[in-house]
Amino acid sequence: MPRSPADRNGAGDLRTAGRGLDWLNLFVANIQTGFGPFVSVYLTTQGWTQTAIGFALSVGTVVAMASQLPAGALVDAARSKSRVGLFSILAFTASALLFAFWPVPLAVYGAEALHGFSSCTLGPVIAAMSLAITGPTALGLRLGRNLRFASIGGGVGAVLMGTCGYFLPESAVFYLTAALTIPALVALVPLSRVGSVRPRPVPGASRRPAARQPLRLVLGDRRLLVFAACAALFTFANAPMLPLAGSALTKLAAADATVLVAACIVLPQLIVTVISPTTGRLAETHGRRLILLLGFSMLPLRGLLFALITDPTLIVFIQVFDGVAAACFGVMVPLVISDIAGQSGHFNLCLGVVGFAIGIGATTSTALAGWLADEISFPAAFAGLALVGFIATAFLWAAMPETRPVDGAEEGRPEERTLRLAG
Amino acid sequence: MRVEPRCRRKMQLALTALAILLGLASDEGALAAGSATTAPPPKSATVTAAKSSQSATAKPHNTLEVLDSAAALGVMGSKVQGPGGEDMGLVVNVVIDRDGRPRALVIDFGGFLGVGSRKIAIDWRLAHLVPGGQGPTVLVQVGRADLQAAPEYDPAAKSNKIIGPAVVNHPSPTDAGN
Repeated sequence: MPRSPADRNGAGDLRTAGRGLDWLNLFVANIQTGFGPFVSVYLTTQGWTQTAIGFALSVGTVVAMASQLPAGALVDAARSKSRVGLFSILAFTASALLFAFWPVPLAVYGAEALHGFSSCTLGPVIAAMSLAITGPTALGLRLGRNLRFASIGGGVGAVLMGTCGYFLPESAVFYLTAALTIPALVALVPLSRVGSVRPRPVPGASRRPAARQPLRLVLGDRRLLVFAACAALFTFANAPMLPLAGSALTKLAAADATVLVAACIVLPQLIVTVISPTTGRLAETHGRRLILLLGFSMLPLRGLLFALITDPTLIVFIQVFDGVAAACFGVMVPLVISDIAGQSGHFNLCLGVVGFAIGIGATTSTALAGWLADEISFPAAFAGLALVGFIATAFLWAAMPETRPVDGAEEGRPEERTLRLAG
Repeated sequence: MRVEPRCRRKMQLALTALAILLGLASDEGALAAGSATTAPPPKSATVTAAKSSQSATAKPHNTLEVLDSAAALGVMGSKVQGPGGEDMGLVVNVVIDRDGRPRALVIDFGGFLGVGSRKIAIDWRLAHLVPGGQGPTVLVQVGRADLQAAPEYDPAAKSNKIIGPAVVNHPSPTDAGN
């Protein structure tokens, strides 16, 4: 078994780095739960008007959208990815503490902006470190594992913070969020050397970590543009479904609405935890298109089921399909971008492009779904989202080529790498 | 149901936010103006204060009144409890009419961690204040079932249905629109 010199001291390092990445994904997802829709609940308890809350949240949205590309370019340019990760997590700490201590407008805008920007750097940092650890041929397995731990983190975070917000004053959620940045920083320690090394050359592969490709060539890649459009459509159909289903549940269910909405959030996380390593592996063995089509096709199915079913318990179970879609989409975004631009020197910038497209999808669709639900009915809104989901799937099927590198098709090698990582 | 105006407003706000962030040099004033509008309601001046001060408005300058915080408090963001002490969400707005009289309390009800909550208006007469240890609590004489059946409150709509006082044999919300 050929080992490059980097591997000799690297095998153990690689294993601890992989563990670090596991925990990093878990705690970052934990932290992100605190910054979710709960922020508006918290600001409401602080006497904020709904208009002021809307403004503060849109500061975060605008900053996040505006920093997708610059943040990607920054991560590309950074020699040490873990240092960018360090600053991003510290920005989360600062943001959480600003929320907890000074729920006044200027501090909250600052907290939202800090969080918006560092979310845009942290995602690419994790993807870049994953690529650096595994190399391009086994990336799918690593990304599946990343998503598994992120889902555990998200699910545990929702339960933890829901409990915390229920029994303690609302600000306690942000103290907890700030406290959770500490283990995230610890998880970064074994990753400190990752990213300063170039991705190891794939044995027997023709593609080498080449010099930077011209930016215009990378950004003009038709596969990137098609995939960004697919991602925007996917998010457009996907993003409003959970909030809409939550509102529908609050209207439909008796006293259990809160528990049911919580189940709607946690159940998909459980599904992702179980199946995301499988989707990652299948993407390596059977190609990206299959997994993408599987994930995308969940959208029309879920939309139609939401439109037709009014039984509260069954509504929760429809969320299983959300888990399947998330397990596919969450692994495929960094994986496909790695296929397209992983060796170009612009990997993170391209992730930023897709992140920007996802942001456009998310911000525009809530308005449309809300309008449909308001003017017609919940079923009409779900049917509309199902239609967009169908269009997304059809467009993906028609326009998105397979991106799995031919070199990575050899059997055996991906598994061999995971054994090293998982063992 | 009525999610749309909020979303439209959100998008407008997003544009405003963008404008402010772009004009970074001049945003001090804008942010300060924002903070003026977002400040919590004055500690003592609540709507009940307006009632009693109406008689005194003929004078050229307003008098200062004492408002006992055990009797009246600002309620924005306060917790709302039902007849059985159950959690009914948070106060997000107070609706007053042309005469300055409070008409309804808008509460944000249901959901989990901010997902899936709905805004519902309740007749003012059904609510009363309980000053408590961790901030004031508003008690409302409305069951959860009535809250669930009520339509969402929409400030942009021409009229809204609010939950009115209970009627014998008719527990569903009564129309008190104007």
